[in-house]
Amino acid sequence: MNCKEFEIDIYLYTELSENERTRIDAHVQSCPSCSALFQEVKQTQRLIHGMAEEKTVPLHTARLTGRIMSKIMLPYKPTWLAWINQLLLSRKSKYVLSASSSLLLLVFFFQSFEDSPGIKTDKNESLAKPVLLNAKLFRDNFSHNKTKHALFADCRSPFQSNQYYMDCVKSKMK
Amino acid sequence: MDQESELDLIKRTMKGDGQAFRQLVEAHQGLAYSIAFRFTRDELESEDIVQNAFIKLWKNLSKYNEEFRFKIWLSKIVTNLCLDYLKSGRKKHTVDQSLSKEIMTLPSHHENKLEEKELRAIVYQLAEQLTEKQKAVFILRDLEMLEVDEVCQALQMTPGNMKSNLYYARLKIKEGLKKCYKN
Repeated sequence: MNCKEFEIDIYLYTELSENERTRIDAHVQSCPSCSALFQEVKQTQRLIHGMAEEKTVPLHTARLTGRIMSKIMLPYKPTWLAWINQLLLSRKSKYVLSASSSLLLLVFFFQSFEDSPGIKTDKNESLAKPVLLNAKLFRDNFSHNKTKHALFADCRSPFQSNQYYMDCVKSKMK
Repeated sequence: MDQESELDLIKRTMKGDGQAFRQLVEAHQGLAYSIAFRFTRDELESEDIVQNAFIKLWKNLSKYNEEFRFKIWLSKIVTNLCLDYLKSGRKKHTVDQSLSKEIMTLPSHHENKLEEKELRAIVYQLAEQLTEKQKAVFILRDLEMLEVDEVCQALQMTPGNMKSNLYYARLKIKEGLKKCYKN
């Protein structure tokens, strides 16, 4: 057994059995370097032992006991406001809320897409036909709006209220 | 408190006897606080850790294993909470504060002889530099003076693993102290 192996046992002297300690004691007496190490370790352990005896106690022991017992004896009853807060602020609810809002957005988008007037296309016809049809629909709608706009154009004024516009339109309709 | 009366209190607590639990708290909060304070070096944090440890203990009392001493179970819970606290980075007194700085600020009449109080402060500083396992073993074995098997139970370590961590902890602390003396 070399000194390196004794070194570990010197650090763990207090954890060794009686026989192992006797073996270390015998080696230390014959080996100056291990003897010096043994003294250093003993000195450090003496200092640490002093620290072990220095127990820190809580400043207010009774208060700490009271704090612990109050937490244990009174079951936690959240108020309705705390309950809602907890519900909204919890991580799970955040995920659920964001997922449901995304789902609602998607439903709204598809619903509005389905409501928009569809264009029937014949698979045999060329692609130009739907385009022309769309253009026609667009023009019809737009031209109608144009006429409407021209008819009531003089009713519009940035300096007048909406009421004025409505009255003007009504008078023109008559 | 002997093991028999401790077990009696635990059984009464499990039946919902709050006063029995109060007696357990009063008997063991000193140990819990001492462990927590050696880890955190902060009074308020230590009190919070002790409080949380007893609440955790109360909630898990049905899982109590009679083979273990109550103080070992408590030490295990407190140590885990302390390690969580250290991991969280809430600790104000960081490792970065260099040891040499502390030594430099010592009054001049201490040039040749460091007083024991200062040496203790240095040991705590050196303990900050240990790994989590080394620190836990050092605190429970050397500072709280638990038996080897009790430390192994509290930290769920094999005796070999525990001794290895203890060796490195003592080595680092001794070398650190030696370095301070040389400086």
